[in-house]
Amino acid sequence: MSDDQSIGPDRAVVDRIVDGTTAVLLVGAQGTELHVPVDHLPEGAQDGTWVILDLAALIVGIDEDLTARRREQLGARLDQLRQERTGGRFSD
Amino acid sequence: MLGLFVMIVMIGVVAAVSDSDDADDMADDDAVAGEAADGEDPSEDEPSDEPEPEPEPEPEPDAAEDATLNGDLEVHYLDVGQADATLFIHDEVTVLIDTGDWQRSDVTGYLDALGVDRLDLLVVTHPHADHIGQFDEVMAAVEVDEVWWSGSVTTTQTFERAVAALEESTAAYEEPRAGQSTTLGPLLFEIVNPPDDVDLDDLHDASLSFRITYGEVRFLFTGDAETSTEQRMVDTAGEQLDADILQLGHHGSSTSTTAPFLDAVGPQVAIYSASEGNQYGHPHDEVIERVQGAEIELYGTPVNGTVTVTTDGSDWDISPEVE
Repeated sequence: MSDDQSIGPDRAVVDRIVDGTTAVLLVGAQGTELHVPVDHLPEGAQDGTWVILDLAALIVGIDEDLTARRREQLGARLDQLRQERTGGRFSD
Repeated sequence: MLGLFVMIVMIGVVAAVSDSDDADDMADDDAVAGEAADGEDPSEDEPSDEPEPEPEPEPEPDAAEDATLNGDLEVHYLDVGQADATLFIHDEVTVLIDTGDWQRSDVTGYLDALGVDRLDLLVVTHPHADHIGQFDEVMAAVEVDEVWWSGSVTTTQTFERAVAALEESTAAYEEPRAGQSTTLGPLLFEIVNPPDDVDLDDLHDASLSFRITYGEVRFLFTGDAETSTEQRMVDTAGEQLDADILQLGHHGSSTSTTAPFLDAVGPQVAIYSASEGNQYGHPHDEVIERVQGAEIELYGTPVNGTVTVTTDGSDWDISPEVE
């Protein structure tokens, strides 16, 4: 499956928070990273939260729908792999 | 390309030699040794007048003494920038732990330069983009028999590409948990994190962490496990944390390599993976001081480039790309 085509250049995702101070955001369209102080994140943002950027690449809010949709879809795909891919070294 | 050439040239060059401690007795080397032992069936035999002969005691399995180790194991702590990728190469088995950074494309180049066209096992400690970054490229470049992930889900396009690559493959898939162990060729894997009841939404806390033993030489990997996770491992994993060669957690950040954890591991060598001049200041000074204060031999990819450990299962040589 290819990347989600609905993700525009005005969206970025929180990949990780490093040392509790720096949020690393991935901007998929450009293949670049944004590094921002963690207190510049919208309240409630965490790993995997998609945010909305303005023209100056400042975070203006959370895209709740995109975040929830992708978490549900990717979680379901991993669930499917768990069920289908047997025969590993820890399988019963 | 020059870096790769230098790295290849450096393989086999002995830069430092350290003696290793005796390893603990290794666990049963059955293919899988789960944490829960089967209960014994209650005997329902009728009583007999004849005394039962005493069964011959079976010797305790001891892979460290009994196993015949064929050849050397090479462990390459690859210089992949502010990210992780570590490659185990042995005649019988090849394993890659983590797949570098999402913004780079260097891991498959290392695999090619080292003659690796197949992985028996590909482990991703957790799905942040500096650990699962080039998973899709690796899956496309080489045959992979089995994949281990922590089971954490994130929403990045990097993770999506990794899921798609796994779907398109035929690799077996596992999410190991603390207390499990298994062997792969001459390598013993003992999982020390995460526990069964981990919160998978905390990607660092759920980092797959494990010890790999070859003969008497033990390597420990903890991904980006931080302070509370290290403490849980200290509290629950016991002697399974003992290791000769420790990869410093979270790229040498002060969130990791706490004093109690370092004491519990007791390594003779520590290696961290980071990029030169990274904005996080990794490795942090207090970690370096703690490691050096304990007289632990220290290597790091920003200083030494790729660091290669070669071991026959009892002693080891360390060959840094850059002295």
